[in-house]
Amino acid sequence: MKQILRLITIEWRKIYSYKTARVSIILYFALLAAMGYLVTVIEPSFNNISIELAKLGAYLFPYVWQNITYFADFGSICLGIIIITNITNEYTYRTIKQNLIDGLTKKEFLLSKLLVSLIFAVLSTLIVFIACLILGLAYTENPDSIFKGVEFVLGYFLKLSVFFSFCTLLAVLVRKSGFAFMLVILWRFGETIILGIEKFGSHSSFYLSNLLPGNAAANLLPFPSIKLQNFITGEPIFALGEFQAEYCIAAIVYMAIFIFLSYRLLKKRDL
Amino acid sequence: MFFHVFRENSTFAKIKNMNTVLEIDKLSKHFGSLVAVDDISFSVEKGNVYGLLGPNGSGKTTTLGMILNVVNPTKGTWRWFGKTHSSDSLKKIGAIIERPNFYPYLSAAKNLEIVATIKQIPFSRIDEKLELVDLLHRKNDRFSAFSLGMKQRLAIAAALLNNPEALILDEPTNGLDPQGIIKIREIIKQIANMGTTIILASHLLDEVEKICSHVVVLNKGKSIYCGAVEKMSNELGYFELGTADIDELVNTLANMPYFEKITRNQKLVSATLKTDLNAEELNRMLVNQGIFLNHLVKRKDNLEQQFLNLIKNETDITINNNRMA
Repeated sequence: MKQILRLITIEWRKIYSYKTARVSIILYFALLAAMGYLVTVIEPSFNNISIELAKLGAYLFPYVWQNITYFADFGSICLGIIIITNITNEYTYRTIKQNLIDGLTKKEFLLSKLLVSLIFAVLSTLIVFIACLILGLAYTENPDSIFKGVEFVLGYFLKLSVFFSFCTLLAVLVRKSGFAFMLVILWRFGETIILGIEKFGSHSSFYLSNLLPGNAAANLLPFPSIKLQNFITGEPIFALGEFQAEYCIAAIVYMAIFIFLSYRLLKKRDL
Repeated sequence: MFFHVFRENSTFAKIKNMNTVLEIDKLSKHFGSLVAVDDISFSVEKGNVYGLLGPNGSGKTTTLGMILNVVNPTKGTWRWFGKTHSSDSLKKIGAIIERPNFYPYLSAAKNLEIVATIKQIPFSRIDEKLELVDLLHRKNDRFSAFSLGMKQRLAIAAALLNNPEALILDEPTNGLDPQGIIKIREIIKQIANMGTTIILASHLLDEVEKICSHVVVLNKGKSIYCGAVEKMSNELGYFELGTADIDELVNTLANMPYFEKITRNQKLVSATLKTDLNAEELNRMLVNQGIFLNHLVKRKDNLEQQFLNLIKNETDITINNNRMA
C-alpha cells in the first residue's frame, strides 16, 4: 500500500505540475460533471424539429444508465490522449531512463502509469454514476427499480479500463505520441471494417469479429436503440439494450493481455 | 589447524568484499551481430576515483547502462556492494548518463522532488544539494530555461541527493564551455574529497588525469587495463635536456649506457631511459664531463601518450594475430 501511494505521488508530481496536462484533466472532469446538466438543456434538432430528450424519456430509469454511459464514453478519447502523452513524454525526455537509474524498477514504472489510468477510470465512472442517479431521480416519477440497468456503469468502467490499457501498450510500443494516437484510431477503424466484412452477406446472431478488443469493448455499451412506434402510443421510446457478460470477460482478458505485453516490451527493450 | 586457516581466509575475504563497491564479472552485450561489450571484468574499490577510458564506441556507456539496469546484458553478472544487483542497490548510488534527463516543464526543485520520491529520501536535502552545485537561486526556474552547464549541474545535484556511496558520471563535461568544465571539475573534486567512490567515463584524458587515481581502459568492447594511473605504463620515462652545445651533449649521452633512444629537437634533447636513473645522478655525471645544463626535466609519458600506446599495442596484437592466422 505504501509503495502504491509512493507511485501515485510520483505520477502526481509529473502530471499535476504539467500545465497542459493539468488543464486538460480538470477540463475533462468538469465537462463530464457538467454533462449531467448540459444534456437536459441541449435540444438537438433534425429538420427544424427540435428534440427534447427529456420528454422522450431519455433520462428515465432504467434507460438513463445506458444512454448517459454511452454518451459519456465519447470523452474517453481525451483521457486516452493524456495517458499516451504521459508515457511517450517519458521516452521523449528520456526521463524513463533516469527514473530507472534512480532506482525505480520497470515494474514500478508500468504500475505507476496503470494506476493513473485506474484513477481516471474510477473517477469518470463515479461522476457518470452520480450524474445518472441524479438525472434518473429527477425525471422518473415513481422510481421503483432504480438500479435496473446499472450494469452499464460497470460496462463503462470496463470499457475505459480496456481502452486505457490499449493506449498504454501502444504508447510503450511506438514511444511517439502522434503515432500511438494514429494507431489507436486506425485500429478502431480496422476492427469496424472487419466486422462489416463478416456481416456482409451473412445473417447470424453472433459474429466472431465482435470478440476483437475494440468491438468487444464497444459491445459493452450498445447504442441506445429506439422504438419509434412507441412514440405514438406514448410509451418510452427507448429500449434497454442487453448487457452481455461474454464481452465483460473478453474485456478483462484483453486488459490482462495488453498489460502483460506492455510489461514484456518494457522488460526486454534497452533504453 | 585447518579450521583456523579457513576462518582467517574468510574474514579476509569479507573485508575485501566490504571495500569492493562494484564487481563486474564477464559482462557482454551484443546488439545483433555487433559486440558492443565483450567479456568485461573489473572491480571498483571504495574511496577511489576511477576513470573509465576509451575511444568513442568502445562500450563505456553500454557498460554503465548495464550496471545501472537500463540495458539488458547478453551475458555476465555484476555485484554492487557485494550483493546481487537489485533496484535497492541503485538507491545507494547516483548516476548521470550521457546528458541530463529531466522534465523540461518542471522547475529544478520539482524535478528533484520526483527523484527524492523515487529514491525514498526526505525533501530537506534538495536545497542542500542545489547549494552545492550553485543552483539554489534558480531552484524555482523551469529546467527548460537552463543552460547546458546548469542542466549538467542539476543532474549532479540529483545524483547526489541520496548521499550516494558511489557516483557514476558519464561524460559530465561534454559540450560545456571552459568555465562550465572547470566548475564541474571542482564539484567532482569536492565530492571525491568527501570519500565518495566515483566512476568517471570520459574521452577527455587530461580531465581523467587531473581527477582520477585509477583507470579502466576499454577498447572495442574489451577491458585492456584496470588499475592505478601511475602503474598504467611500466616505462621508466625520459629526460628533457638543454645546454649551449647540443652536439656535445648528444655525443656524451650516446656514450652512456642508460639510454635507448636519443632525439634532438631544436634546442632540446630528449633521452629515453632503458635503466633507471635519477636526475641528480645524471646532472652530476654531465658536470663531471664539463657539460652544464640549462634545462633538465625527468618526465613520464602523460596519460594521453600511455593510453594511445595501450590502444596501439592492442591493435598491433590483433593485427599480428590476424596475420598469423
